[in-house]
Amino acid sequence: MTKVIIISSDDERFPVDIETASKSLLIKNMIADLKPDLGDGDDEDFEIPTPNVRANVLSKVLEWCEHYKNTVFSDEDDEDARKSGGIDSWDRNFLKVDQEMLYEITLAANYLNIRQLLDTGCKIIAEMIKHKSPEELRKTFNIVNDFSPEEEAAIRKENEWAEDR
Amino acid sequence: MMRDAEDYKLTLFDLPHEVLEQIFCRVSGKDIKLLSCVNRECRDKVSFYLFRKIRGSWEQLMELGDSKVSFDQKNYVRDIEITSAEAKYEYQTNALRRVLNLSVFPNVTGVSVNSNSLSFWLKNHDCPNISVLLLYLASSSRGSEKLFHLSHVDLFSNLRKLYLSNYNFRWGQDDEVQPLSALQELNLYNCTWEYPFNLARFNQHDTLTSLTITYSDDNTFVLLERYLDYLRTPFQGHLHSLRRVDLAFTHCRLYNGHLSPTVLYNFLECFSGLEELKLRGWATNLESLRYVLLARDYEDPFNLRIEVGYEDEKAIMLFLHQVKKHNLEVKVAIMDESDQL
Repeated sequence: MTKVIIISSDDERFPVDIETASKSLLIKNMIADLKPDLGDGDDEDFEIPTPNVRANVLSKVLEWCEHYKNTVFSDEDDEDARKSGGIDSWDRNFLKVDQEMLYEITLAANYLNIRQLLDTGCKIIAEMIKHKSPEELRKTFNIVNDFSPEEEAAIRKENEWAEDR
Repeated sequence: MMRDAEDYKLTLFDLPHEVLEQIFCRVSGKDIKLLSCVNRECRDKVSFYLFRKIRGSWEQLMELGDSKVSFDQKNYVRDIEITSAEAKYEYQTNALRRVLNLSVFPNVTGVSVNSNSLSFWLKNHDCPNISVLLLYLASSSRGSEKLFHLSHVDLFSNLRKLYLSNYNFRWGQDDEVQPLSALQELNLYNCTWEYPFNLARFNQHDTLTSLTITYSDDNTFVLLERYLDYLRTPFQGHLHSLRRVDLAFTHCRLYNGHLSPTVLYNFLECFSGLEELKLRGWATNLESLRYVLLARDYEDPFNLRIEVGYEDEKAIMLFLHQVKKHNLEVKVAIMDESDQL
């Protein structure tokens, strides 16, 4: 069977089937533009380099694509529905990774245009931000405060111009 | 905790703006404010989002526009909302120019005003840089209907989006009106009109692509012949430019529109170039709509979104199963409870 071979930035090759690869809109469009007859005969494999995705990230992303390859997401075009929907428990488990990996997966999903994975990554990061004091946020994101008390007061004043929503 | 401080290289703020935006839109403004207090880098990365829209009273914003108050985030500001309804400033010739001071806020393109009065005051203000104008009424005092006339916004020559809440329209064909030649999006909330006004007057240049009309809290206007007339002949002669139409009723107990097969048939006939029709909060019997939907052929993809107030999952599933047709995509949702009574 014809395979799509996705090549990571560190030159690792990942052979996957067309359905899995097509979860990425970028790759799906590339196949449609460059090799529309892919899969018709047993012609050669189609190689797609992803110059800014490392192998360990790409392998995670493709694991996600493989899991969902036969799923049609009903809210694909409905931004509001995607925004408000919850996080699937498989996804939540899948994204139980360290922070850097979570950002890298989210970044790769953005680059490869895998909307559902991007959404889920963003939702999980949003959960890390929600309902936390600045001190708790610093702890979560490993950030050191570099504001003086005067600056903090000025910031609070400036923030009053913005909406609370 | 798994995701607490660890040694890592890529940080949250290495994510590009478009991804950060996706994250920020899922947390509250309050959370964003707290995030902006974490440290300098954090504040730098959050500000583009946090200060896109600022708000204040006329007086506060005029001081800000006059640079009497220190505010370092001016370049991020796209939208300014004036939250105090004060007619004395509306009629002060340079007040709006002071608020929307271009040399202070070079990127401002939108303004929202809480206003109790008719829109005449806008005639005094030259705002060619404003493409989004929103006039609303914060107090819930119903019945205080304000007059809006298209000639009042003559000086907003680049207006693309217009949102009006609680206004009444009554200009006629013969009135000298410079039609808004760039208007693309019109959003009317609890707006009413008198004969011989027709909503098509907003679209004399056929530029409008998106239209939203909402009535809330049992607005009795929807019982009048004027409204029913509009259901029969919406946008006389000027509806071919429309791509998205959203007709909604929120917080209605008694007077919401009745989506009969005839009404739906008429919409489908009239809005022929439509890509999406949203009908929210109408009283309807899904079953009765089936034949109208199936009787047509859809040359181009057409999305119909219906939001109903009751929950009958079975009826919805059955309906969706039955209305399968080439190029037609129907979705039915249960209305958000906050939109219902």
